[in-house]
Amino acid sequence: MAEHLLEIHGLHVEYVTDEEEIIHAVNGLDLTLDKGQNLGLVGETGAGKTTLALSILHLLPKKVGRITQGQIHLDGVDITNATEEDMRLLRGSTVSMIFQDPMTSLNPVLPVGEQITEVIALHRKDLTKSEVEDRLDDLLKMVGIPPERKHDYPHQFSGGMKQRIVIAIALACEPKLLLADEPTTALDVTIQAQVLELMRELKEQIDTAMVLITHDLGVVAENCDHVAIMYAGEIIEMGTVTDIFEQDRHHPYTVGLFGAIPDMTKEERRLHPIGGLMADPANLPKGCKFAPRCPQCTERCEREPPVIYTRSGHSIRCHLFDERGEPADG
Amino acid sequence: MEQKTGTNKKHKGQLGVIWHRFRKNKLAMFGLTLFTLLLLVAMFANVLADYENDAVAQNMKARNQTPSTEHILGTDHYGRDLFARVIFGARISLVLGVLTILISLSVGMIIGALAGYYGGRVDDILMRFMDILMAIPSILLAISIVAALGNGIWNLLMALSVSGVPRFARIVRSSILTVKGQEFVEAAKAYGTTDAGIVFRHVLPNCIGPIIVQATLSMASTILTISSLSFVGLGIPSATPEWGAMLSEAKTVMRYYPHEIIVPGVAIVLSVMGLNLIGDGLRDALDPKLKN
Amino acid sequence: MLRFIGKRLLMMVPVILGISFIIFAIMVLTPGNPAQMKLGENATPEAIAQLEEEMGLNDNFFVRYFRYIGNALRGDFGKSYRTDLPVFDELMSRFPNTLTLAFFGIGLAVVIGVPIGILSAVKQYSIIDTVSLGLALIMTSIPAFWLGLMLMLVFSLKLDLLPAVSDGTWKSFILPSITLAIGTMATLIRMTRSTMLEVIREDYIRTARAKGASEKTIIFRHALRNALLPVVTTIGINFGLQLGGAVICESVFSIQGLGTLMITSVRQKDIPMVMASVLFVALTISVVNLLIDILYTYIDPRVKSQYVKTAR
Repeated sequence: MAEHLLEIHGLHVEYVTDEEEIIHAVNGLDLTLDKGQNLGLVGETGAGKTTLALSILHLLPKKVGRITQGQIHLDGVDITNATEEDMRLLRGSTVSMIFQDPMTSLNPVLPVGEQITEVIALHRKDLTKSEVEDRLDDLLKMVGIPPERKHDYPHQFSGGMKQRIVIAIALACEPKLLLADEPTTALDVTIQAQVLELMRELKEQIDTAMVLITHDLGVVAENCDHVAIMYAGEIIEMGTVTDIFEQDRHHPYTVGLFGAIPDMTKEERRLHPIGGLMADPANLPKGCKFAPRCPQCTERCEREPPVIYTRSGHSIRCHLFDERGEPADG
Repeated sequence: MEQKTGTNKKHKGQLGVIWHRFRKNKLAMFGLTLFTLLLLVAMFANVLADYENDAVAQNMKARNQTPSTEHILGTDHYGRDLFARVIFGARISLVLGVLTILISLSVGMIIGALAGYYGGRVDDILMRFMDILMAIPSILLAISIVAALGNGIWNLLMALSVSGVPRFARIVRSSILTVKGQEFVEAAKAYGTTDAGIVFRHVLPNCIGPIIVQATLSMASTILTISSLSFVGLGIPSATPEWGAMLSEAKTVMRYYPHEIIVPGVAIVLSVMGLNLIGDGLRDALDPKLKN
Repeated sequence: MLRFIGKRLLMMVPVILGISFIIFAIMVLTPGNPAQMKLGENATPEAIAQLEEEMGLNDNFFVRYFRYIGNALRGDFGKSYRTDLPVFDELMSRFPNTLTLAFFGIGLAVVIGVPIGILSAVKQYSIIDTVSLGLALIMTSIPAFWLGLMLMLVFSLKLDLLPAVSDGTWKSFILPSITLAIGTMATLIRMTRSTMLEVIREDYIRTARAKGASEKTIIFRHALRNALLPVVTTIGINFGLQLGGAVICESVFSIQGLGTLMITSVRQKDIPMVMASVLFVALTISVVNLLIDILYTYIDPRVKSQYVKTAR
């Protein structure tokens, strides 16, 4: 177990709404991630991607969201029931998170420099004040912001620069795991490429593993070595980038996502909308959660939930594939 | 994660939904109970007591009595039954409160509608004027008007109404501005609906919620203002069984007969609290997102 | 920064003019003849006509208004009908009492209301939260003058701890300040609580949590300053209400301030006095709001950078 950086087993997460409805956001999710690995986590809005990231950090909204089942191991330690104090030591140092909207991720009344040094001071108690300042200057240079701007406030920076600052905060303590929740969706297309390029460079320098949550298949192809496709709180297909982008055995949902399986040479980067609505997480189908939208749905699919079939690391959660991962009907 | 509010709720109509939310709010229901009680007492005041004999006529033989079976809340400095005075006081407060709200609502609605509908200079001038009115504390405005017009119930009513106008004007104006550009209004115009028709058919239903909330909260503060003004002798004359006036009279003897200031004071607190609770409850019920 | 203050001062002018215009109009439209009132019932028509001429009552409304404003700018608010002494002197002798009362009131409201609001938000749904919301509810529903009477009854008349009537000592300001403070205190408790709850849900608070910051750091370093911005505005707005409330409060505790002056003047139809005191209060409110705006530029960097060039 200890060789994996992140190991999640049978994770269930629920939210309780004001109307006392129970939202099943994550439903029995298994995931492993090795040191230095880059996993692209893809799926529609509401599939539970962000919830998964927040569960790892124990940052689910208080009194609303909770982990009901399963375990999370981080760096060989079971953190499923870790105390708030223990989690505080991990957050920002062992595992960091980059949030979606850089416009609102920074505190408007604190200078950006202070917001970066805060995380260093929290986790590197061994550093003196001037060492922390030096580290701040280095970080700002690394993310391409002139260090003399450290006294400026967030509103004085553009969106792309804010996201660079957010990245500097996330990487300040050289975490082993970086959770990036759609780090570029809120940015302009040209800026997106720059920010991703920067993230790639920095990641290589400090050898961090990353879970990159995104809608953009192109981003996954360029930045990740593994891909997991999420639907209604489950991972329904997982494999290497080659498995997902170049093989022809896929979950019907993945097929739907790509429209047709894209040729990497074509500019087929965006997700294609799939007919039907995302499963209602308050009222999930009994069998396969994708069944109501699946073009190849059988009676069995409606009746019993499929298990995962894995062949040489490529796993698919679908009745269409038998135990060996071959298409069931030939 | 997206909000799943009410997706699988049965359709009850908007009012039904609001009432359902309101009913779940215990404090709001408590407020409604208080207010209903006040309303009943005010309506049946003349059944419960006799205005002339119990509430107004002085009875020097029964002065400053503490509560007893004969006078359940005791009597005041002039031997008048405090219970009778308090319930007739409820009538005065309610009537004045409602009238004040009606006046400021109608005037505010007209001003807001004009400002929002015609925009431009009309809007600028009217809303500037409203801002200035809002800048003067309402009690000072009321005092100035009473100073100018002299004492008396109608003058008091005027004085109280003026300070409420800007708030209603603002609500109606902003509602008009949101509706104005929308297609169904253009369509209504094309069918030849008059401007006033559009305002009544399309704009008012849109802002009825905020108006009711504002009306309830304004009524609470109006009741407070009436009693404050009467207390300092600028409102309702002291022989009248008005709560503030009663307190003003009782002030001189409160050291010896504290019940005389406690009774009308509690009456004010309960009615104002009732209205505040209803107002808050309605606001939460109308827009659950604003809760907290 | 000076330019900002200058600009804000300029913006005050139309508001003050507007207020003075409204008050002036109300007073001029008053039924009754000021000359007659000043001379009394037995004055001859000739004497009245002469005084009317002297007082400029026959001039056009706007001429009178601008003459009034012109004189007011030089500190001349006319003479009291009652004492025939300059209104301004009387105002100045009473103004400090009202101002002291208002500042004590607002100070007390802030010192108690804001921390309770914070605590209430941090411990949402706890007993503390319920109790402080209940307290706020009761405080908004109590008429200030009645609370004043009750406090006076308990602490002055029964327990004999504090003076019932103002004697100018700090002790005699305690009960009036509490009386005046409760309304604003209630508003501040609710306001601080709700903005604090809002801020706690912001993304940057989540960022701070993701850094591993402690709950204390999150509340005091990240949430509080953001939550206080709207609270400061509320304090500014409530200062006006404080001055309004002071009018009533002064009358309960017999404090010689603008409020009692105003009420006596209204009773005696002393129009110049009423007008000047209302104007004075309005002016004070505008000045306080200006101060609040300046304070704002120091606590909100977004506002500050619009006006102040930070030296790098």
